[in-house]
Amino acid sequence: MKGRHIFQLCLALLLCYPLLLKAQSTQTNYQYWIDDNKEEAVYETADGEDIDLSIDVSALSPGVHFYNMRAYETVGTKKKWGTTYRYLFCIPRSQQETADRLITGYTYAFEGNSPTVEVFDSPVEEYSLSEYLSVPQAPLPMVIDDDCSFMFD
Amino acid sequence: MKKLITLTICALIGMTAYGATVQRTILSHKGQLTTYDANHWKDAINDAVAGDTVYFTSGVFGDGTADDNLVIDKVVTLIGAGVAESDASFRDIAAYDGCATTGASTVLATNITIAIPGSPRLKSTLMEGFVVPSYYGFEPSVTISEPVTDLIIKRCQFGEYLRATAKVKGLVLEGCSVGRLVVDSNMENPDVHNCLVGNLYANAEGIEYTNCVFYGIEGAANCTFENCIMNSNRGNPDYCTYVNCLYLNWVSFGDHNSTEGCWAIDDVNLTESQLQLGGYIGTDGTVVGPLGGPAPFTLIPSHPYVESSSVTYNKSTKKLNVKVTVKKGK
Repeated sequence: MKGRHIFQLCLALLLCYPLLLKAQSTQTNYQYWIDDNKEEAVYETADGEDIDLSIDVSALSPGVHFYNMRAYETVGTKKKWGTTYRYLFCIPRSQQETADRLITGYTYAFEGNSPTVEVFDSPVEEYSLSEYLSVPQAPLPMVIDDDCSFMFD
Repeated sequence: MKKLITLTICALIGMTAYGATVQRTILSHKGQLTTYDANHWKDAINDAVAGDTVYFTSGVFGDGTADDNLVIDKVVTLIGAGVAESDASFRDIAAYDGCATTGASTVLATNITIAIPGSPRLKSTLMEGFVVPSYYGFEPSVTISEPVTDLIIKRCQFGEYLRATAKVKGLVLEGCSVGRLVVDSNMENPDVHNCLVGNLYANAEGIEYTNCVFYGIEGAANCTFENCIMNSNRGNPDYCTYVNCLYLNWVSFGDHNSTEGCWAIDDVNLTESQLQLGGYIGTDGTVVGPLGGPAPFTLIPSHPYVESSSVTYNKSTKKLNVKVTVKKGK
């Protein structure tokens, strides 16, 4: 009786093995990290090819941030890493409900160049920046340095 | 209200970044990653030591002028994001039919000089997944200028010259597209397979080419073409052997060439299924040309890659929504 149970268990495992293998092969192993905090990289496994995440970034400061991710396949005992993908996202500053001060102008700068300062003739409550900025040197597409910052007085 | 400016700028940045990666090189040294922005992308290679891997995101690297030169002077592995179909050379040919694509390329708009001192024997791939195009107003070339053994280049697209000015033993060129491939006495026993070659300048004798397609050949005395597709015999190779090759029926091989199991037809630009249906099968039992053989031609990388992506910040939940589709390498 005991031998029969063992036989049935082995048979079940044998039959399930291909399914287990298939399930393993469709998984996607990857890691991600925010900005340059590679030490805090999170390892995850997704079922299938699609990664669908909702990451709490409420602790991040307003401004430009980066989501980095890379996937790997296991070849034997080694991990075969794909290239790193780096996505830019921006967290806006929290908006005030009412304006108790007026905007008198703005300043901007590219790289380490001297900032351009624009002062309005008269202060305004609201201003939309919608002009073409003169870029000092033609950048490569999609280049925004890690230290990129926008400042408003 | 003044925060509106910040919001506007952030929105502009967010819009431009939506679904697109930010161009970088990433140095992997013993598992430790260092990221370099696009203006300092070469520093990843400068800072690398032997055995390191440098990954490239998609994008255009190099300033696209004849003065720009990437010097690879150490035993490293450079991995690009692959080749988008729109960036592929000879993209009108049937070899690309059914090829999976990454949708984005790593383009090196620069000359490349492979000059690793010490005549090393390489143990891993040097370059994979790059486009070095010829449409940037100059003709960037890939030159091997120091002696090296077992140099492996895979799945790259070189619009112009690939050549050696120093002794290269056992070059492996796999799944590449090369506008002008110079195989001369500097190249000892190269293994060229599953490649698309615009013009082969074969000034070395006794070389064997497998599962390639050629659009023009000059020189090539005493060479063997096995399971290849000859789209032209410009230059009239002499004393060569063609085994299981498909060639245009107007091609005249001359008296000194020999053919075994070859086919002459009107149009050799056939898809894989057309090759199967026509019975154009090579000596290894797979279709002739780049889609058969030991490493069927593909545009996608051998490592996992992102096929599509969307990364957006949700202001109300303060969460980052990430939707990415990852494909396994091939």
